[in-house]
Amino acid sequence: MGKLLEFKNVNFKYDRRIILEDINFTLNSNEFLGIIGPNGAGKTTLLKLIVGLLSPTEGTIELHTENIGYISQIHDVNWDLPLTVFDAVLMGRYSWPSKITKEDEKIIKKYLKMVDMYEYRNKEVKNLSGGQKQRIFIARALVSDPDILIFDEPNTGVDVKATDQFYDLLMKLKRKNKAIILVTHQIEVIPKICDRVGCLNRKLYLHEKPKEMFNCPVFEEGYGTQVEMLIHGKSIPHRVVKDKRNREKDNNV
Amino acid sequence: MFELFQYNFITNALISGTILAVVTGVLSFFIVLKGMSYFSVGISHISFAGVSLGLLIGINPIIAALLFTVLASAGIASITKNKTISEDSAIGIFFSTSMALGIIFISLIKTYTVDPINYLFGDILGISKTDIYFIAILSSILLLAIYFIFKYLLLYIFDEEFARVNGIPVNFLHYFLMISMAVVIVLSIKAIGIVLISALLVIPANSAYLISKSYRKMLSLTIFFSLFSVYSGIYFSYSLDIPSGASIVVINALIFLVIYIYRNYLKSLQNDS
Repeated sequence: MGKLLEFKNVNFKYDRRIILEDINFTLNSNEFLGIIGPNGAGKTTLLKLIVGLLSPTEGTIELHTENIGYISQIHDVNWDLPLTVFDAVLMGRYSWPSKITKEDEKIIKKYLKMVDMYEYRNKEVKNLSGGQKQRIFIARALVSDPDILIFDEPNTGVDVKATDQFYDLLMKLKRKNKAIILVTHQIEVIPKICDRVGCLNRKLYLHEKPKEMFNCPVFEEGYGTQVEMLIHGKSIPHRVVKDKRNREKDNNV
Repeated sequence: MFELFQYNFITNALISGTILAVVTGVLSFFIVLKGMSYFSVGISHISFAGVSLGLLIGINPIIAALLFTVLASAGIASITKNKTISEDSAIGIFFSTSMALGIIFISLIKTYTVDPINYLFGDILGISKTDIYFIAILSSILLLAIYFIFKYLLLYIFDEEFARVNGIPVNFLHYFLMISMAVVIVLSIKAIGIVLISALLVIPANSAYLISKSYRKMLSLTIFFSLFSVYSGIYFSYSLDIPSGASIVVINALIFLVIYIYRNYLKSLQNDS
């Protein structure tokens, strides 16, 4: 498979307010695209355009596959439903109209094992931790064998250990030739795992080399500060560069 | 106790009660999980305007209530689908307007062949064979439809956005739940009454929810509690000469109270150990 998705001159307005402007990009199979941007930049709107929950005001979106696995934020769900983990993941096999078969149950088992949730299959979803909920969402998306996996801020409400486990899983998925779009606020992670980076703040700035993103105007116009990245081999910590007035104040202390 | 079955009105009550218990139980399951309990209260009171209109213009009040309530439910579904107004506001608007219309219609009636009060409180012991056929046919259609779309309703309630992304017709399911509620409420008017029918759509599922870890168990228990309350309500209504609708609802409430106390007792034991 080659090109899976293409945005051509896409604009999106809501109540005459421009949310996305002149968005152009493509996504090919086996590609990992990271998208970052400040709050209100239009990241979730972009994802909703891809999965068809919204339609562009102008421009075209070409989708060359119907198999999209969308992992939304875990707090947008009714977790009080008396569902087991198995039942929740099985919902990924529902399509309109169809019957559930034994084959579906085998697939559920396979992906629950892949996300290390098989032993919890009979546990109620409302008793799961944030990280566990996130993993069953991933399993639920995977059971439909998607060509594109889309993650919308997957680490919101998830602790550090679960976040590490999540990124390990993401690398596993990357090796399985899935195209992945990851929207995240964790900018330090992006260069480690993504093939390309999109910096979004109404407009999308694409960077073919992830490390180039640190010169992106989105950081200053969107976050209001410069971010200087120190590159030491594989690890990329960052620090905030203070402006001249604060540096002088520090020197005088 | 078994001498009761020699009476036709008891047999009619048991047959109609069984059908209504199952259909209200199934719908109660979805209504409670979707957080639509207040919709059932609102829609049951909307049906009052339909009944009053039927009495005013001389057509079967139940048929009039069915048409009026289904239309009103579709209207509420349309307004709430896009979250233009909050759900409780939409219910408040339709509820109060319908009650006011119902009072106006009643005031315009010159002569009464049937007392409108009967429709407010119902009487399952007054159900006729014709009523049973009407209840049976509409309930069967509804239950069959729910059988085919059960898992999609569950997904819609759990994760509406995921359902939309996967091509499930979420808007259709939204309208379906609202209109089904209207139909079931109207079917139950003669047996339980406008004022009390919402209790059958709210209490059994809440009782079942407290002690269920799976939706299958919750659905089975909801239907069981509905049936138990209907049968025992009919028995006590006949034996003690008290209103049947109220008996059924009080038994439902007692079931909920016992389960609630028992569950809290078990929790306190777990906390102590």
